Amino acid sequence: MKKIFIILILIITVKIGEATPIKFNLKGTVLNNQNETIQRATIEIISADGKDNRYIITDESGNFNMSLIVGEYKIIISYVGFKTQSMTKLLNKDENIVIKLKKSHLVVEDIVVTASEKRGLTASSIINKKAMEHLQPSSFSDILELLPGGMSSDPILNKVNSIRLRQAGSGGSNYDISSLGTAFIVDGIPLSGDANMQSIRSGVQVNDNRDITSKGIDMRSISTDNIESVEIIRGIPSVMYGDLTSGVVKISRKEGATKMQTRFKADQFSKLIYAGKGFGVGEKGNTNINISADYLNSKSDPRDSYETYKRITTSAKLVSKKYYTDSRLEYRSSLDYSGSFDNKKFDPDIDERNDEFSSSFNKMSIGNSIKYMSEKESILRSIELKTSFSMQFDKLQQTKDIYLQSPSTAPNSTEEGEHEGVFLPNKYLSHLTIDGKPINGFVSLNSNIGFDKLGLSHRMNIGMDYRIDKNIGEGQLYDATRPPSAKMRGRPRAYNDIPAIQKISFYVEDKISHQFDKNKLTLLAGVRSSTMIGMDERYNLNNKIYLDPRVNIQWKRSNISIFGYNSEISFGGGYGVHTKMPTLAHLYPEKNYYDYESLNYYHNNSDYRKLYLTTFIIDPTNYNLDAAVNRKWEVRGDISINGNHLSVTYFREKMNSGFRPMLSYRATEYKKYDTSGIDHSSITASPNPNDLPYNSEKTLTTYSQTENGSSLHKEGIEFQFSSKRIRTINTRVTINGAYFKTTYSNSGSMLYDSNVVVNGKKLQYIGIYDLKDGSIKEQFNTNIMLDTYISKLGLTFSTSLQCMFFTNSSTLPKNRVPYAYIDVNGDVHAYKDSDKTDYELQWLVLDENSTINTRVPIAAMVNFKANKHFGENINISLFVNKIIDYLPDYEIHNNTIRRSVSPYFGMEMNLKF
Amino acid sequence: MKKLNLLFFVAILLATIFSCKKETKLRPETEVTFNINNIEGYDGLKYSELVFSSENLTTSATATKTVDISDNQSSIVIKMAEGAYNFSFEISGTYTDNTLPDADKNINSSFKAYLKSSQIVGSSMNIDVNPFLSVEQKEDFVIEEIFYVGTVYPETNKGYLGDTFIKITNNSTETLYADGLVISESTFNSSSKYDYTPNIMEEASAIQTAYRIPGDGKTHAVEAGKSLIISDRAMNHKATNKNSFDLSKSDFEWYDISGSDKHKDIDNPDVLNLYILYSYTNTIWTLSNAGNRTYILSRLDTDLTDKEFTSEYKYDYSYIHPATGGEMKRSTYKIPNNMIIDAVTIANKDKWVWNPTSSTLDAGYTSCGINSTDKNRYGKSVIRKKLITENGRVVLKDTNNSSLDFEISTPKF
Repeated sequence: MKKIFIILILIITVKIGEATPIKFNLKGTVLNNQNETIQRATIEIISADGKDNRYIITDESGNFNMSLIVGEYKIIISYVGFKTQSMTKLLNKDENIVIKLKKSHLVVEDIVVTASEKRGLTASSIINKKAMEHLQPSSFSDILELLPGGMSSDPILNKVNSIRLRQAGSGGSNYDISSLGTAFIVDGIPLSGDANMQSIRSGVQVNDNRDITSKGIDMRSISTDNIESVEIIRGIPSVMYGDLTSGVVKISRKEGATKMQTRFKADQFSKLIYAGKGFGVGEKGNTNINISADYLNSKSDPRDSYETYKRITTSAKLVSKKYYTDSRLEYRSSLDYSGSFDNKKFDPDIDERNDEFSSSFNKMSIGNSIKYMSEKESILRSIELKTSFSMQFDKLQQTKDIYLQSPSTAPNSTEEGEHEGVFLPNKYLSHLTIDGKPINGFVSLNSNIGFDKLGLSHRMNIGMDYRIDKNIGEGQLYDATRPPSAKMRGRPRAYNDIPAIQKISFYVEDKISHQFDKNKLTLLAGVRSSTMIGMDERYNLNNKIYLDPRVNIQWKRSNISIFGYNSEISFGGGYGVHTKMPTLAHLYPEKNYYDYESLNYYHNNSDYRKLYLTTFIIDPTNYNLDAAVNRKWEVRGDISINGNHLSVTYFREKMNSGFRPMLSYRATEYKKYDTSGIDHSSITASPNPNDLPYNSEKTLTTYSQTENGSSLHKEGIEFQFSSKRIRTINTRVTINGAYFKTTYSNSGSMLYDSNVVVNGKKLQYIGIYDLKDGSIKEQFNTNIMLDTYISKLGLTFSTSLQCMFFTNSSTLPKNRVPYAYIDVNGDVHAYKDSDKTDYELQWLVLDENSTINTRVPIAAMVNFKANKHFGENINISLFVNKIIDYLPDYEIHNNTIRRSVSPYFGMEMNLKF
Repeated sequence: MKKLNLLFFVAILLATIFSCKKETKLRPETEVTFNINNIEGYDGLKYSELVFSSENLTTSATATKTVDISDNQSSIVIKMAEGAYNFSFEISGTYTDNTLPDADKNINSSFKAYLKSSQIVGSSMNIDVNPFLSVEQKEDFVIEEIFYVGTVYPETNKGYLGDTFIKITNNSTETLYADGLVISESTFNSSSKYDYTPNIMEEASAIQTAYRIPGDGKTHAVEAGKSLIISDRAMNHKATNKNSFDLSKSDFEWYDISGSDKHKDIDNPDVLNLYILYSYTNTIWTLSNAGNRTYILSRLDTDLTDKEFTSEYKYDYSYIHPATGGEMKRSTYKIPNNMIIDAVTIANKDKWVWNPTSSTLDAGYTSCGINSTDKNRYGKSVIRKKLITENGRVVLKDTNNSSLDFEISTPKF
């Protein structure tokens, strides 16, 4: 793999040296009338003879640069909402032009206030700044309603918000791979949650909702204000993106000079303030610094001031570009801080006056990238090196008054074997701190190569990336003799001695396209290797190479006439394999401690009491753990007639190796001392176990271990239609929706141990079952949005009818009878018919929670949003979600279910200075 | 001298005897008015006929009289000589049980009342008579008290649950052995009723625990009227929680050798442990703190071995979950009703839906709170009412209707 890569680099380097005709540079910057740079403005250049006709789009700083041979050119500059300008230029030297565009109040065709389907090779949604402005989000979670299958929902900011692409419902924590396997990439640098470990096995109930361990990225921590555009790849992403199974969220942040922009939002749950500005530094627009800060303060319930969530985000980003003959160099550097603060206090009037919970994340990150771009027809089009380093300071703190409901022992030994135990005091104050300091490093190198051969255009990406995740926190800190919960059996644990996880990937892909007549055939094929390195030899994953081949193909026919309109049709499809490596918490789980009673002598005289425990330590590390692998395929069709677009995608995804905790066991044996020979009334000291007779107790100790045991199958159809803006009423119709069918299940045999005690003994058997414990969920929804833009009034308003036609959930039928069982020695036996009547083994037949089919009928609601510009600098927006709803009653097994919702509303103001 | 003394003694004795005889004859009769009180808790109570019997404790003379009291007169007047008497009243009548369908609502029943060693003096007397529903009292153990709700820590609302206990009492006239008595909690609860199939309620009761008093049949003798305290944890709970009490002198405790190491029980070496024939949980069994189970005292047939019981008395049942329509299948054990000695249903008035065992075992229910949210329920027991004291032995009221047989009280042990 490495060798191929090196050889390729060499070839490219050699090719760069080839001679090219004399060319001059045409550079330029596009600005609006407020001298703010305009990115993605289109520059069309037509040579005098009309033979050379090309387009270029301004970059994030409003700049463009191309090298052209000597001659006269017509330059046409256009951008949505602005009057198109054109000029003629004789190019006989390097030119640098500045174009100022004037606002147009007539051209409103392309203002898109919702997500648009990218008519590319795979299913992907683009959400721009305008759409976000109109949506008025509090956090990134709110944006997802714009995806096919998405619906608006009230922000829930006191819980982790995890992403689930193309999925009906949620399968619970066994299917966290959905969100864990979705890559979030900000300005080309992936966010990593793989070293987050702010959790503890038991004892912190309040944390359950806020625990992000092995769940990926918490979307509520991502602010939307600094975002220029978002692309969400639902389909098969390029092999440039890895360590994922579900999809990619690509966030591009603002660049270039801007006025001071501010935003103030208030709704029932939260208040948000944002300010950001882009400065031009140095030579005309070549270097820009963007800084921004935002603050969100929310309450889960406006009447409850005890539970709050706060978020602070600040960022500084430097973009510098240097232009050379035939090439340019872009340098980006960013420094970010984001803080997330969950707090829960308890009512001081009741018993929990001492109780307090807080959880904070403070993340600092530095990202750097340097990109060389060739502006001439060379083979090496670009080469980019990116590095990033982030460090997070996580702290969970809990204070809790513990009142024991009944006597309990303290987990006082950290070593295996027999030892004297102690009882916990009946009432104590417990303190728990979880100190986590995840650090994430990322380095990537990507080169883009382009050449034409045999009428085929090739665009290749070759590259590699390296990621490292480690947690250098002090870990779980508490007094083991005053644990945060009486039932807790863990022991304090440091995180900083957990090894780092390192992943290295190489990829190569080629986008081959061929144009003939009005047809264009494009094939994107690539392969990505992923490997975890530097692990203990016992891990199956160590140095194991996973190969992700991914192919997308598309046939496009443009400039055809349908009903007399200029139209375009395309069809395509793809297949891809996607691999996500396990997280630090999956690979290095907390050890399990078991304290069995060897002697429980609770004499009435407290001086004669004796508790003797035998501690077993089981390390639930699964050395056989594999990566989670998802296989996707999809077929797509797009049709565009006179500016009206329709896209339809059918997809299937199959993953049988999602991470989940599974029951595991170990046969253990310990001494149980017999005190029946003691005369309890005449003793003068507590009994000494060494003098006592004992029995050897065998027991099956069960524990949970992360395995590749979850299977998640997704299937569905996504569609999006957007009309041309209807001139007379300035209104565009967008219809999107999806049908999703998701099967949540387990991929292997299941083990269950029975809880019963029969004839004086806990049942010492574990049953092995061939059963599916999950469910099949379906949903079908459609959102119809009408958005109207009245330019004279500077008013945009939209009405969206969101309609969930049905959701359906049916549990999978279970086989209640085991096919085998494990006895107390750990031996496996077949389960025979006669065992069903054995007084002990009969208890291995599981309870039946029968196949249940729950179908919820139509739920429809209307959301209304409006924003109005007062001049250039003031923009006021408001929204009311669920202003009208239709939620008919329905029946489930003769029970009438009534549903109700209450409107969610808010408003915001955007000011520019 | 000695002879004289003897003569003197005989003379006095004769004088006494004769004088007595004479006086009895001379003594006037007393007009005694017996006020027959209503019985609380019985709606539409109507007496019809009363059979009055008296026994003169001096003369052993007995008398009976039948009086028609259907005109709802609440008193009867009977003339009798002064002296000490035992009275007994047998009343026939009807009452209404509103929990039953209309056709079966009116119940013919007989009521009884006893007055022991009443002194009758003077020309007239008024005596209150408190009848009770007469059911043939079984001469066996009964559950006298259930302390299921636990206590709270001082100055808090935080609950303490380690101090629950059950008191069983020998309600017979003879010494009985507690060996082999099984204490169970019903599988079903009184606050949610499903259509359990097969329905075995009239023959057997579904139980989720069966904890047995050890012994070879002649180990744990309990005298008539005496009790046994069987506690979850036999320890001095006062040391842990001031609001609790000392249970270290309990007769038995149930010690759960927890299969899960997360829950710890304590084992008092001075107090014998119950044998766990079956428990639905391998952690610890605590009495239903919500107060919605039936507690069952039974004596399994002596020829039934543990293996036979645990393999043959498994009860597999199913029900349709009303919310989803799905068929739920569950397994538990059952105890035939004819092996059951006593059953007491705990239920809160606001939550009660049904009795999870046959109404022949318990026709009512009891609770130590007015309703499920009553904060005053902590630290309270349900205790069986005392009927009479017979030869120094308190006879507990056992009409197989906990609504009438039990009252709320502070724990007594």
